[in-house]
Amino acid sequence: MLSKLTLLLTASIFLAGCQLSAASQSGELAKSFGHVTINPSTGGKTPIPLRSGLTIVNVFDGFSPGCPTGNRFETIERFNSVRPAGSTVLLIFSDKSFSTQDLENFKAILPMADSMIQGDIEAVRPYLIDGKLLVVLDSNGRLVWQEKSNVSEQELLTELLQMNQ
Amino acid sequence: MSTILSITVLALQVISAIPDAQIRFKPVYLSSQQEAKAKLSAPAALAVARSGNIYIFDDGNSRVVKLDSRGKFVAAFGQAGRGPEAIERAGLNDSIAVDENENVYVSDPATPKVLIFSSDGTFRRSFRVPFAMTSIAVNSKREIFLTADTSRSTELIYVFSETGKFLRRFGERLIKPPGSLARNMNVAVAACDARDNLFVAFRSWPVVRKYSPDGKLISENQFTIPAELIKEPQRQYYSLEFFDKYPDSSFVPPLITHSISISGRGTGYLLLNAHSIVVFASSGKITKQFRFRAPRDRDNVFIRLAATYLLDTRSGEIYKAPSL
Repeated sequence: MLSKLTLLLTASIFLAGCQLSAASQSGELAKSFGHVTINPSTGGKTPIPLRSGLTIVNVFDGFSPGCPTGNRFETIERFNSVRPAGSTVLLIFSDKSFSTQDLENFKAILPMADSMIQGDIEAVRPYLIDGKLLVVLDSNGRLVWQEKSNVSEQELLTELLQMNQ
Repeated sequence: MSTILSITVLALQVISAIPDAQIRFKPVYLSSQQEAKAKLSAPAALAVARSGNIYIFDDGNSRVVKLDSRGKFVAAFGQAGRGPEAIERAGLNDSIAVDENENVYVSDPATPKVLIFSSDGTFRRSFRVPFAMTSIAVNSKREIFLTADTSRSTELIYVFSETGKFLRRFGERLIKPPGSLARNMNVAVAACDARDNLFVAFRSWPVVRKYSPDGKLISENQFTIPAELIKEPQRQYYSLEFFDKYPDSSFVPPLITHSISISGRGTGYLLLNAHSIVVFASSGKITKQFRFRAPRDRDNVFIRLAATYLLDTRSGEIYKAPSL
């Protein structure tokens, strides 16, 4: 009995520890996103603009469009076509890896030109998954959702859509 | 009107046995016999400059190797790693081109980006593109043509200035609905002639298109699919109508056009799998198609052709044919 209780207690502590750790990580990431800035055409650097609804933010230091698990741009486009009213999509390209010319080209070639902007994403660099990261922030900058590693683009889209329902 | 008439409408592909031809390939560069710094590792593509210098995209070493016209090692440039000058492993794509001033252009579909070097190896610039590419070509105005590898319903060819500014796009896809098979079927390779016309060959469909410098379709000509590539039960399904109906099918097209190149005289060459070469005139009309015995006749060897130069990507050997 005692050994069962000890086991249960140990498991509870371990689980609580995990949750605490995960929550803490989310908090750290949310805090880091507070340091991400965008470079608006008007000049200067400003924090990520948050509106009353959810803000879906994808930061890019790189991407692999030929990836067999899918293409992030296409995932975002598909989400954008059905996203709830009041939510905003923002694609922030690292100003260390993408030039102003690169971004102008992307805007000319890809849909969603209005959502694309250059920015300083160094604060969240440690959290990037294969050079990119998709998160959802609420109007107060709290992290509502973040992508996980080893998830296909289709799974990511499904999660994103469920979360936004 | 004549332009319209010259466009061949393809209802059905032609599958037939291809005649053999005896080609005497002369070795130009044998990687195994070079000193360490000059050995190639999984070279992916080659381009031949007007001067005769040969540039090889040495994919396994993330660099470009320059040889003189006699095949003597001159220099190697480019590096692996991160940053604008870095070349990632790009895979076996037709990923190198040389302009009239012998600037060297490399397309890196992994990052994806285009890197430009001077002929002495000086890094000039790179720019990013939002899609993977399967081929790169450059014209006399130093406009850069990329064939896009994307499931997006868009044009085939994207054109950028030498400074990396997107200029225009053109070219109708073979299969319009999105899907994995459609993506494979729409993959293409491209090369420019001295008059800045662009020739485009689809990787898995037997067609060569000729576009004017401003992107107008001038001709579309069909070559023959080597009979050995497609067995009888598959033949009835090998049609654009079928692929259009099932764009997401897992069918893997057996025909592969590995590379396209145009000689200084305007003759075009396609290298297909099954050791088959297609020769076309400056009009785009097919003039010859034949099977040949590669210098090292092995199964599954992957080779590239740049005019009459042949690159064996496995052994890193380069051969030249007196003519084709």
